Amino acid sequence: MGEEELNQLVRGCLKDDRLSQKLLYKAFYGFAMGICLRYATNRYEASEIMNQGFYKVFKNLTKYDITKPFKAWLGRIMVNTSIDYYRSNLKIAYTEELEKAEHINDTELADRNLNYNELLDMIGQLPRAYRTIFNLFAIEGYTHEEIGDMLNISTGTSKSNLHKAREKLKIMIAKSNKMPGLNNTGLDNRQQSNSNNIVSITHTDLSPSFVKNVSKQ
Amino acid sequence: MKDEKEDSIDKLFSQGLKDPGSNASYRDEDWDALESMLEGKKPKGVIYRLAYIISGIAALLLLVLGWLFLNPAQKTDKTTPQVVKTKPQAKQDSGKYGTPDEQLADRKTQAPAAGNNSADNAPAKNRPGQSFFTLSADSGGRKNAGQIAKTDVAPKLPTVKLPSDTIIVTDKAVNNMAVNKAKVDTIIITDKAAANMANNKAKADTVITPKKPVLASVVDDIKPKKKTKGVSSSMGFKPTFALSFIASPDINSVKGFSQNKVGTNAGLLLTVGVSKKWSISTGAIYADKPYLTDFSNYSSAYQFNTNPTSVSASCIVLDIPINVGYQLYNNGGNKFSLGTGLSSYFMLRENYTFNYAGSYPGGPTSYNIRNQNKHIMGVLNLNATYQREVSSKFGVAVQPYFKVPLTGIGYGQVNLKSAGVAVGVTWNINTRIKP
Repeated sequence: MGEEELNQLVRGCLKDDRLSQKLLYKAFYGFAMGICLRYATNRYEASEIMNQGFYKVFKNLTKYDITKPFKAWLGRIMVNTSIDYYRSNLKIAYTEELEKAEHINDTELADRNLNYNELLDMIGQLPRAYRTIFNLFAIEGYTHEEIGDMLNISTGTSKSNLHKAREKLKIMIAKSNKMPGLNNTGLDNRQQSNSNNIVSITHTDLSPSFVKNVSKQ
Repeated sequence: MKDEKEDSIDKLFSQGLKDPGSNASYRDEDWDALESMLEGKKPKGVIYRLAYIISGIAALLLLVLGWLFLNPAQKTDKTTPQVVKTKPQAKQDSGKYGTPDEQLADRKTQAPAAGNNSADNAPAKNRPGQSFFTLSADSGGRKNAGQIAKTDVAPKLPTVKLPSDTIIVTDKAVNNMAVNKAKVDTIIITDKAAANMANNKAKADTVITPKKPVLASVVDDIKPKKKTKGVSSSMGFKPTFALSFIASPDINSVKGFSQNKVGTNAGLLLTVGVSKKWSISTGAIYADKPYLTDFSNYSSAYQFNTNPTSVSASCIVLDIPINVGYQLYNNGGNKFSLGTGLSSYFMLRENYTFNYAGSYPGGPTSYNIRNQNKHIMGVLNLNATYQREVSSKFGVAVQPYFKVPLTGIGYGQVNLKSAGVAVGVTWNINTRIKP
């Protein structure tokens, strides 16, 4: 989708035109769902978060600056909605004795190519706090200071949770390397072949540095 | 920090999770859910859920208070149905997004909640309402949009009136729309975008991609839809199965709860989730139900020479319930649901002891029977369940319940009510299916 088409859809959405809203939703569905899936425990939850995010997008579209990339703005809203969801669900502090994973080295991690589903499943198995911090740091590219502010936790907690998240992921990867038969590589290949059907609008990615720039502005 | 950032595990995940592929493919159900939110039903926020929880707790309290404070001598027969009535009433409220007052309150809080979002503020801090979009959004446009929303009920020609200076509509496209008489998604595509769209034909039934930028009609593959209001299910549903073992102390009473005795219950239940919210459960519960009642509440074909003053009973009952449950709340491994249904009582053993005023009994002192009585669908069940997941497969549940007989129970045809709080463990047989 070109810039002008996007702008027209945005204009339609500003007038609460349901058709424009739907087209915009369809166009950015894959992108938004990709973010929400990483923060959610399952697809149900991801859909709920994503819809809350889109609701905010439509209700606050007047705040969107046309000169800035829409995708980055939308991505930020999805991340923030995921954080809101995390906050509303974090009633019990998670404490768990951690199985040490220091014996697992990086070469073991590279044993096998893990596909999207496997990685998503692993990240989904993390406790919500670990998952959120891992996402924000490793994928979104926020610093521990920024994460501390967002989640209202100390920098130290952010660091320690990130460390624990990594340890857990390493263990999961090591386990999956030992049991490669359990992986759904075949299924994933089939799904990948269909992935062209997803409407991709622009090619700009929500890169960490970019997000930071947007947030600073 | 940099070292940490360059951790190989971070790279593995950040690169591997870049492209969700078909995992994030579009689903109509999700749009339907969002559309219903946009049509004035609030997003499922915390406040929204609180309304559910509060109404659930209120229903529970009414239930419990009803049992505890009934005056058996005067009001039992009248108040019992009242207690029963309060529950559906409370349920009705919770099913409709709260009372009007609550809805108003929700709406008030809604706007600031959305505005608080730091994402919204971050990129837009220095642009207070001066964006191009704000200026172009005229009230007339909003009216049009409102009309569109309302016409969703029946199949229609979309009366989309986008500003004429921004969208070029060819006669051909208009004709197409008229002929199709279905919901039509319109999109303007340029040469470049056209190439993109061409790859996505699975999403659109017809895509016109001429050389010059023109309007293409994308006939929506969904329905001329009749909206099922209130459906907020965000995806297709597969039935889920859960097996529970429950046990509970069981308070039994014939009139009110002033004269009660405590028995025990234990049993297995199978719960089938038939939709995201609704479930059906059945099973078998072995219950020991002792009770003590005045003889006036006891009916017997036997003519006593001197009527006993009271009857003590100890009944062993096989309780086969069929209940439906409605989930009011499900979040972060916490589930709260209300349920009702009917139980069949199979009286395996009934032992009655008759107590007389004088020291010399004027009649039989006891009466024992086995497997004589059964009451098919003879007992109304009301319950509320709180379940907490301890892992993806297992959960623990606490279930206050109330059993009201619709028929006389046992040989003595007594109005035997039971209440208690069951605790149990639940095994979710097929949960965590990642779609």
